[in-house]
Amino acid sequence: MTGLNDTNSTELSFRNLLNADTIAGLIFFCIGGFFTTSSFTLRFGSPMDMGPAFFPRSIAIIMMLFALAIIMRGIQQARAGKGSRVRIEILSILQVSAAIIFFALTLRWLGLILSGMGLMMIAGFSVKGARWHEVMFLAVTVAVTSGFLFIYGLGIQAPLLPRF
Amino acid sequence: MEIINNLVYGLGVAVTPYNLGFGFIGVLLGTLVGVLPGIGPVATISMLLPVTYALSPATGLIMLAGIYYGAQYGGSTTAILINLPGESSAVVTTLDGHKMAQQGKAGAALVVAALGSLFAGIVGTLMIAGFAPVLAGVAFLFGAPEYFSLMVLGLVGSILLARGSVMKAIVMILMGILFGSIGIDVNSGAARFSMGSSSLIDGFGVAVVAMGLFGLSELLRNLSSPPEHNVVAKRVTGLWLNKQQFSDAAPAVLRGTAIGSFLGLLPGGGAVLSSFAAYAVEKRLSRHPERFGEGAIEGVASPEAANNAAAQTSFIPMLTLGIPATATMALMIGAMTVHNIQPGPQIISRQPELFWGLIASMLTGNIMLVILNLPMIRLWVKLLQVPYRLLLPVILLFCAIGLYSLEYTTFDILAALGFGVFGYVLTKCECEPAPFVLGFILGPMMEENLRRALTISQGDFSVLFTRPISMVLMIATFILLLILMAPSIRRRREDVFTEGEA
Amino acid sequence: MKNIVFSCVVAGGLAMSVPTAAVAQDYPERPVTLVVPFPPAGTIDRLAREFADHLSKEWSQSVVVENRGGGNGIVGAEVVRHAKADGYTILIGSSSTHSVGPASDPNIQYDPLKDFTPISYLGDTPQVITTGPQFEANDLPTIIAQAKENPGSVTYGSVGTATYLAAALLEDASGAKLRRVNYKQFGQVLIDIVNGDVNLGVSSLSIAIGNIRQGQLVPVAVTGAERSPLLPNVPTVAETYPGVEASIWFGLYGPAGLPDQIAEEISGEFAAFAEAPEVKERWAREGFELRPRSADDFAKFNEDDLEKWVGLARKIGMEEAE
Repeated sequence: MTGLNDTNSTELSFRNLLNADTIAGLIFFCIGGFFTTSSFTLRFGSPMDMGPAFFPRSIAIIMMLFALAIIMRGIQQARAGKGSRVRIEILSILQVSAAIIFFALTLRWLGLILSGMGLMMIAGFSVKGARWHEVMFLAVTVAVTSGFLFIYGLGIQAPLLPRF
Repeated sequence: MEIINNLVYGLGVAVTPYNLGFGFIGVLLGTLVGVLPGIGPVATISMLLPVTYALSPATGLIMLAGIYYGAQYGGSTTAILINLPGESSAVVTTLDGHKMAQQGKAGAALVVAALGSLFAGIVGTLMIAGFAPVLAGVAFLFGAPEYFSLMVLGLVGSILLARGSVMKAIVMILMGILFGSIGIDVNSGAARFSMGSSSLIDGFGVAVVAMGLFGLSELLRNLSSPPEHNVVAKRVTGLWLNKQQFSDAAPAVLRGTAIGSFLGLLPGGGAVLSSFAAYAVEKRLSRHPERFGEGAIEGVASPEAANNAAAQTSFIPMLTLGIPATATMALMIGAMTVHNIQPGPQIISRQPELFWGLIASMLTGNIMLVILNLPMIRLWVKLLQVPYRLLLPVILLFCAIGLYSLEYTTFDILAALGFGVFGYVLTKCECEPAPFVLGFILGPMMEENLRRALTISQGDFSVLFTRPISMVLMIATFILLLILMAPSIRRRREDVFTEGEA
Repeated sequence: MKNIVFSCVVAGGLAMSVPTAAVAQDYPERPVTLVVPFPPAGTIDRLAREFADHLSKEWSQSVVVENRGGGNGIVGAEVVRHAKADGYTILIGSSSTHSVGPASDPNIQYDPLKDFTPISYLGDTPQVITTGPQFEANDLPTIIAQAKENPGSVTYGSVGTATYLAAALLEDASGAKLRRVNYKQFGQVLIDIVNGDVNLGVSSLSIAIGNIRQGQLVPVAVTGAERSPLLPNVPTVAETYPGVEASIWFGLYGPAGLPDQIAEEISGEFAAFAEAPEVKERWAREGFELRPRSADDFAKFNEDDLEKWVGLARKIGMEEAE
């Protein structure tokens, strides 16, 4: 599809709108908003006698103001046809998350060796060009050596093997 | 001369085969621990504490101290090679260090970090040897108003850390401050922003944030970009510094050493600032500040020198006042107490062999570290030419284990993942994580000191401007703000002009 | 006939008691975890590790110390509270987690008496009021008089709630109003006292004793029931204001429902550990008195202490969380 960057067009293409500034600004605004609203349960106080909410809420509000400015700059850029769409690889995020969440959930239950192997297999197979035998070999050897290194060598308190 | 006498005496204590041996074990363990993500000197030292009970106090401390600054070296190594800062002080090293690695200059980066740290370590040791009692007095000049002003200066200066949009850098700092305020409020005991979760009741650990925001987000980036890219470029240009690099780095090392030596003396939070401050100063003084963040060697040399210098001089408030700057120092004080040795102003006269032995061991320790680390550089570089598809799972596993080892909760692993995704998204949006980490660390300290200053002065804000040191720092902040704003005013005027033309 | 029934009942009773006795006899069969709810390197952490070592040797089983710091001890306490009551997870609790804390900290969700089984009292250290070279008043009556004359003019620096409530107890008894300055760690209190920003310090004796011995801090009064053997010339607060006592104490706890035999086994081991003169002396030198007490004694003590602090907290209006 062509013509997205016709500079004379003031028509905002939705694609272009999702540029670095607007997305960042939105994230910032939401986070600032979150902290502002969460701070309502705490006492605000006054400059002379600051309560626990004073500092965070003030910062959060300032942050939201900056966030708005950044969003506006992003919109301005999109209008001028300058911003470029941010590409986020959801797949990579899901793959790494799966590996880590698996490890976190099974560590205490399956022990370090097995959950470590699981993590390495999930992560190993996520990379392009992964070869079956490499991933498995690495998973087994590294998980086992790490188990001994960390638990016996460095004294980390974690179960080595499954505890049923 | 006094210094020489003291050092010779100290060396006499430190250079026995016994003490050298334990010192070596210490630095070896420390390097290993520093390289392994998440696992820090605290865990290792607390495990080894009982061992030190059996050793003579000097030997025990020499070993523990070795672990401490060995971990700094190791932490810088991973920061440069895989963008994973092993210690919070290594965060700044990732900015240019990792870029250099990606440009094939990993060897140079590692060498400059090692040599810069060695130089700083030697200078720091000499300073302690010569001026310990005087230096101890510096800590007393800094009360709550002074720390607050210092932190403000630090935060404003950290805007300089950013390469891109200043507004985004400011927001990253603010966001870091907000995340840092999660936890129990010192003054009121209220748990802030913990959402009723007992895992969050003390907030996030800085290691979790640093590992997630830097290490894991880097992993995510590498996963999505074509996997043919190795972590470091295939062709590594030499494993030493060439003339140009050396002459660029040398003055940076000097400046970093000066900054770090001074900031390390402030137990209330100087040491963490040292690497950030050194980087900001380098960038500010450079004739080509755009090079920073793109692999400027000064951006590695200066912070590394600064944090090692601070590591050395932070022993002063620890030994002469019993005030630990970090958890590791607290452990060392514990080790001394077991032997019935009280840190304090009289430690120099009462336990000369301990004091001077320890100081001299820093010299020998630093030398041992460089001897250990330099040949290993070749090994590291070879290791990182292993195809990334094989390295990634290993790095991920070590990170996960390291994160678990911090507080033995799986929550930390998940939290770091969260920060990793967060960092990945933000870097795609052209925001930088370094200012966030600085805000995260300094923000709470800033708030704590501000409220304390106001409590002491009974609500009088002017105390921040009337006390001499605080006043100087505030004026410096103001000047820095002006310097920062000036170019943007100019730029906006240019924008106006160009827009007018279009 | 009656004899047969009687014997059967006795036999039945014995048979039923065998399982628990068997459990107690086999305890411990696997590694035991001693949870310390504070970060490593503190006094209590070191004591825990020494005791763990002793237990390991006595039991030929590995006894490991796990530091679960956070929330002033809440995190560690919660971990043990939810653990199985089989004696393999025990807690080193303190006045912060089991009396002062629950009385004043709105974040604490557990009941210190019902959710835990007291095993043994470990020991205590008094708190000490100190001052520095910049403050003219050196004894308690003068300080109180000054504070009464100018309410809020005398400041004290302290870390944590135990010290805060101790000072509150003094204020309550003397009628003087002090101004509190909060700190995260004692080091900065020391600096601010020496350079005059803060007038007094309130802290545990074991933390301040080093500085006192080196002359940086001047001890004004201690908060124990009697004078501390480390500072025989320093009066107790109770000498001027009877009843004002506030020591920082530590004790061993298990989750609620811990079998008596196991509790007794552990408590007996601690008594053996603490009786060794070398051990007792070494800790006393740091200001920490080891005082083994029976579980019942300990339970009663915990109850009384909790009541005292709850009463004080209510009086000074701490119910309202910020």
